[in-house]
Amino acid sequence: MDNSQKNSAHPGGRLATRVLDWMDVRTGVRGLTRKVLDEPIPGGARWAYVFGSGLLFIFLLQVVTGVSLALYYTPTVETAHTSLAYITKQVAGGAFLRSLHSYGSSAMIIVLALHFLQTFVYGSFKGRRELLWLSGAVLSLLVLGMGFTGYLLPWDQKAYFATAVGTNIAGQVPLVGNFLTRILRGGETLGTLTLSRFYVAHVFLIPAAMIAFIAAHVFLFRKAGPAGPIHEDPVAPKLHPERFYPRQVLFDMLFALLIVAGLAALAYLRPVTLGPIANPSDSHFLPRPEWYYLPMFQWLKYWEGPGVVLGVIVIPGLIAAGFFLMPFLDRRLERKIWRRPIPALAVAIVVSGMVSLGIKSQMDDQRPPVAQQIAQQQEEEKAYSAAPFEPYTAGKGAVAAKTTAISAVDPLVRKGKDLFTDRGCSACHGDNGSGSALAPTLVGITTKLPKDRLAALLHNPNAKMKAGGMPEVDATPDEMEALIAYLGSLGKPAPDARSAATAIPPRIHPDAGGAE
Amino acid sequence: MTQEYNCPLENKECAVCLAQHSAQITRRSFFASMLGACAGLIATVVGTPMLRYVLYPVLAGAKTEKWTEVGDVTEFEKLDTPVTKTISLVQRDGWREVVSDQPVFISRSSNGMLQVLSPICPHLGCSVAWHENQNKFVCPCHGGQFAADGKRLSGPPPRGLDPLDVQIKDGKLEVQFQYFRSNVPDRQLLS
Repeated sequence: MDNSQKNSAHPGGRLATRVLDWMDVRTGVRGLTRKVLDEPIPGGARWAYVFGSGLLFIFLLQVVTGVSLALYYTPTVETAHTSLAYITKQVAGGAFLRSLHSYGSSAMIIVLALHFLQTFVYGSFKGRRELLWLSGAVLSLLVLGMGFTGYLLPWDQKAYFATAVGTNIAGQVPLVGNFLTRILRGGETLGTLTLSRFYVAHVFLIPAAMIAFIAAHVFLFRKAGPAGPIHEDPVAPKLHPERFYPRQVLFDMLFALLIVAGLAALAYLRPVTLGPIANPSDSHFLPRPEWYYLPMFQWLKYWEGPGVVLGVIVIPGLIAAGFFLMPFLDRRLERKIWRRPIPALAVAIVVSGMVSLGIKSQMDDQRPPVAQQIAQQQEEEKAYSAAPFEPYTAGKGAVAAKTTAISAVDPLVRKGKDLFTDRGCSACHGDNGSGSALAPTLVGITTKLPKDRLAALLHNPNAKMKAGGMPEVDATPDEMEALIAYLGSLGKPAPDARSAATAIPPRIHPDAGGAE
Repeated sequence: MTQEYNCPLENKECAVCLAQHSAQITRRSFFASMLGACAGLIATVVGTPMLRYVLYPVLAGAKTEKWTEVGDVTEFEKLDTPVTKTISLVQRDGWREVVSDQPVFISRSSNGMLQVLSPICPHLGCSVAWHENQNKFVCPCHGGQFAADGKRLSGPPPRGLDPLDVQIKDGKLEVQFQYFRSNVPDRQLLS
């Protein structure tokens, strides 16, 4: 790290060095990099320390793949499923990126568990690291929240039903339960408002909170410094330190490479499937949450009647409290795990309990008739994923219905519609006068302007209309009557279209007045 | 970098120092290139599919032919002046399929063959209309005029109305509706 001295010795230097010098004078980037890379690690670099940066790496991977998914995904009940099917079945690399994102969430949970276990077993949270631990505990909850909110977004069968169950669990909370469920769902039932809420939480709120807490976590980590191996003093390290760069950086990088290689292999060989679109009236579907929620899922089976509050709220609440308050409960500076029997036992009980609950839940699902139903659901999901992409076509029915309705109503309107199309009005004002980028909507124009004034304006557009490209309409009085009758029959405007009435000043244009 | 050798002489003649120094440089550049290789590998694995993903709508240009029915051929057999037909055009818009009404003109070309003309003015893209009393197509925007067979008569358009590809299948006249570049003298297909 004696670059600066070397540079001053050769002021000419290479171009890259000169650019870096220029930057350094203005930003202090060299000093910053040095501070980041020269962090001393008591006792030296180790593979055991890779999990934290591994989590940061997965977070970045999730951001990158998530932003990619958002490029084609739309969060509405009508279109979410189709847009995701488009991503997985049509767009080049779409199935791969979605699989990376989906498997990435599982990888996040696994590496999070490893990070927790490493920190706990090494007692690295001890010695003035309470806030560091707390910020990590908050991050763990946020990661679980990302898993929960992301699961709904595909809006397929399992997404819908798993979220229906998940939001019902919130309803078990005493007093405010029903209110909580309604906040999560945006109402009583699961629908497009729920999807919007989960989308906003998954894409904006939770990621923003995560970035804030990651920053705090890293800052607090650097403030306290690495705790080093298990026999090190966590407050005043005595072991010979090794700098973060290069060995630990290389370990971290290789771990990131391992994660990417594993995820990419999985995503390539076993792409994540997409099930048929959510059908709320399906009474046979058996929802199963993501694997990391299975212990909780299984746990809920054992509680009924008045004990529910104890099982669903109190016990998980106590475990969560114990998790959050770990550095306040296990306070001594003693780090060796065999000299901390009570915390070790508590964590061992909870972890093995969760693992066995997860296994039990898998075993329960092997039994008939559940096994058949789940196998059938998986078959349906595979079949749907393999089927060719079907585009979203709601517009089709709507347009057809509108056309028939008009032709059935009034021959004058029919004639007006033909004129509207043939004279090219529809080219700018859109089919059914709904407006386009070129010209405003004409829907409702007959309620805003009297017929004679409208006819006058069509014959002789005002300056503002002309500036927008509106030509004079050359029509006989009969044709004009038909055209206005048609305009009067139009439905609702497209939501984003401007109204033509805003282009017309309140008083009749002098030119328009003399036209008829 | 685990142990830094403190040279007692602090000068360049110290052979041990020189050896140590060059060893450190080799070691450092080895680590740096290892890191660079790892980062490059990760960026490739994630970046390549992302690039294809983002560019998909741009590169997926080769569209399949899409024929839209205009009507029975018999309907047009005795046609002498152009008629307007509104066809239901099915178009793909990303993951949506949009059906829109699209008027087209059926007329006879100069050699008497049936042809389907696009109503989009080759000048700046307004919709032209057939004027029975004047026996010509007139563009309402800038006054371009075209003969019944689509040939340009007068006005700013640089070419005549664009004939569309047609085929007759099972007695039905079918058309492939396409868009052409505006304001150029020759017919250039827009993909």
